[in-house]
Amino acid sequence: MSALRFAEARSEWLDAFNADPAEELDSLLRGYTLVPPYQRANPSEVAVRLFSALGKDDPLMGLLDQSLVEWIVARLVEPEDARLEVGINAYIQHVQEALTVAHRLPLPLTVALLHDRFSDLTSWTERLNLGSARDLRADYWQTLALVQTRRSFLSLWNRCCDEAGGGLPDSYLFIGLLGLQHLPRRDGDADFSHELLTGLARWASHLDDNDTDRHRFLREWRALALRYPRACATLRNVVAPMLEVYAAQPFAKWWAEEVGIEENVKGEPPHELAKKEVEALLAKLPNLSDVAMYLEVEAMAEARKRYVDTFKDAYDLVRDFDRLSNDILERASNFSLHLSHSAVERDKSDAFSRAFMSAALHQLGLADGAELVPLEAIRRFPDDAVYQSDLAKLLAEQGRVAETEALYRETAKRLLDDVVSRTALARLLAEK
Amino acid sequence: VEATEKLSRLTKPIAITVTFQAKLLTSAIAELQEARKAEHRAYAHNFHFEERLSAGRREKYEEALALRGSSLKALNRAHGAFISNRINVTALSDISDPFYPVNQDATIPPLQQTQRLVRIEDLSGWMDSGVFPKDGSALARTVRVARNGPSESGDPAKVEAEDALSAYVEQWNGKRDGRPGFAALHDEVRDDLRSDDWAERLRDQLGLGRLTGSKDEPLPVALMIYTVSDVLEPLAATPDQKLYAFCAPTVIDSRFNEYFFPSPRPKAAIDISYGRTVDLASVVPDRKLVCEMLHRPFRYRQEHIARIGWIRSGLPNHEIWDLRNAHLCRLRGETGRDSFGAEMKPDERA
Repeated sequence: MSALRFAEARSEWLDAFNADPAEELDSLLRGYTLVPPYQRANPSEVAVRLFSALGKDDPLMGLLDQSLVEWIVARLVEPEDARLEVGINAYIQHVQEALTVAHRLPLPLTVALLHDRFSDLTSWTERLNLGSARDLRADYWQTLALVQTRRSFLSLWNRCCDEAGGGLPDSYLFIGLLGLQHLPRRDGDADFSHELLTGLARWASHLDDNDTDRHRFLREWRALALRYPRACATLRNVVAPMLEVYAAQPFAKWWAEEVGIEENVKGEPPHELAKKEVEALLAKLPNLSDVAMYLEVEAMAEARKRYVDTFKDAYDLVRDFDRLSNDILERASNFSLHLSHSAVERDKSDAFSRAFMSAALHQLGLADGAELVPLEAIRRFPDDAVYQSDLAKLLAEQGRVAETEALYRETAKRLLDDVVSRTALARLLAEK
Repeated sequence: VEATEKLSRLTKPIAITVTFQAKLLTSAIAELQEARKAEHRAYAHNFHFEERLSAGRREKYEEALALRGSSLKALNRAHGAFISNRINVTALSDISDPFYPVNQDATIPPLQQTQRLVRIEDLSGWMDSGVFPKDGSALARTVRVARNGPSESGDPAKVEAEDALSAYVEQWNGKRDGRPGFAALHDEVRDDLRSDDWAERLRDQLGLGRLTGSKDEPLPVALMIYTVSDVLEPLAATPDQKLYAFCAPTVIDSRFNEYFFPSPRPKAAIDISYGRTVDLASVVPDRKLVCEMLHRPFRYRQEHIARIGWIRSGLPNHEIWDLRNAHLCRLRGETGRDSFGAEMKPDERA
């Protein structure tokens, strides 16, 4: 009876979608599709109801994935008039619904697009903001947090935690913590990961020592702890190392009390000390003799490595080593290579460390080695255009124009949305 | 004799209550009225029977509609755009169309501040997006602990649970836009809330046809309970904002919906006339229809989440024309408006 009517309506819509996927998906996302009994549901909810019963390998799911990619790309390139025509409030809702569909259904092509077009999508979405419920950049980053397939957005999530309530709205703490919760795990990582706790601590480092901030911290911690119910002893074990690191911050004592740790280590947190040391070292490097430079950089690097190997948080180390590698690249290429290699060992997805490593090898006259670095990265991260671009630049510097052209062509063909390789190819052809 | 009477009722011309001026809109509704599918005819009936649209509100709707044809597709496109821009306003503090003085014919006069209201929120999307924990059972436990005992009890477990819920609700509020909230009177569903299957009962009583689940894939929902005062308190002190904060829903306040049925204009003797929800469970007039209203949305607080439940069934297996005709019969009886609306023909496919 009514169940039959609902099944017929669903089947009818899926047939129409199969016949004209672009039109039907557009209509669905904009809220123009009425499928009983879900007429009053949000468009993404309707999409979930229509597609979730299909397997992820169903051809219609594939068609949805492809159509959603095309729909999002079409929005990126359409003129501003298109937004004004539907009304900016409605326009943002349509894109929000598309992003919701992207994380609620298994759509690998769409997920790849959200990864690969990060810069384009971020700069596009940050212009579409009518307040917290219509902040399209927040929705995009939130979706990315939920679907991320590689660890390369770690710095983004840390930034959200660091800057929430400062350079970014308060609500971005949620995005940062969500990103850290869904960060692809390495072998042996706990679900209550060190990165997640560090994200909370980064945010909490900006809190003052007063009751309001104490309550804010406890509320966030309790919300997080309830997502990962653990025995008290386990919580103490995961929190204790954090208290050592952040002992001087007001939130450390609140955290210690909360999980039942009687005393926490006092003194300046190691990561704060390390940051200051790196700043000081960079400032005095130009005035040091070569020998003194070697000794000081090596001592600092060893201390930093010991810290990271103890606390399993390589984020700051990688950034500091990148800065040092760059600074001493020409003066001490071999030591620059050592630092960038140490950074790559601790975070294999960091593109900057690899670029410095390759540059150092090039500087040392080891052209083959310099080429191997981006080649190895391409093997590991075939969909990340940045490594293809690094390799192409290297080849171009060596005057290997034909190989450079072939690589740009191959990248542009394989990664359809990569603007960098297309622009570089156009420039190369113009210069020929 | 009964069959003949029924046939005669069904073939009687429909008394059209609201008159739209825009020709395309009138043609589109007329086309829908003749549609093969029952749900399309239901949309047409909703326009035809609407009595609570003031001339001003109707004119504003027609102006905003930008209709480009008389097909259902064209009408739905224009209406969908209207909903996105004028009803689903961007922020909780923004004013959606139904809450302007021009909606005076649907406005519900001031209610008692302590009056308790209920509303069901679908949590599935909010859980998928990380706003609430994915583990609904853990969330339900947290809500139970938070609701256990008086708020000033100082029980550490209760305080912890309240804090966690506050963090979730704050994030939720940040993502909620300013669309109106549909609500019912707590007193009218009190008995349903005592039952283990309260979520399904409320879904049916409140006519929430979009909320379906199954044993394998139950749909998580939150029961929200709050007072009239919670709605009014955050509003600006200007009299209009509070005076027009509650209204009966009309056909133009949400997307087309076969489970919506317009409510008649109140009789002079009746102070308040709410909307009435379409009961999805029963085609037998054995209980009073539940009053429904729209209200200005407001920032929830953690204590407004009364409990978490699951909808583990599809909709009761009643045909839409039976549900709507039974609703009409009860509506006429309860409001004394015997000539209000018209019955609906069965679907030709049946």
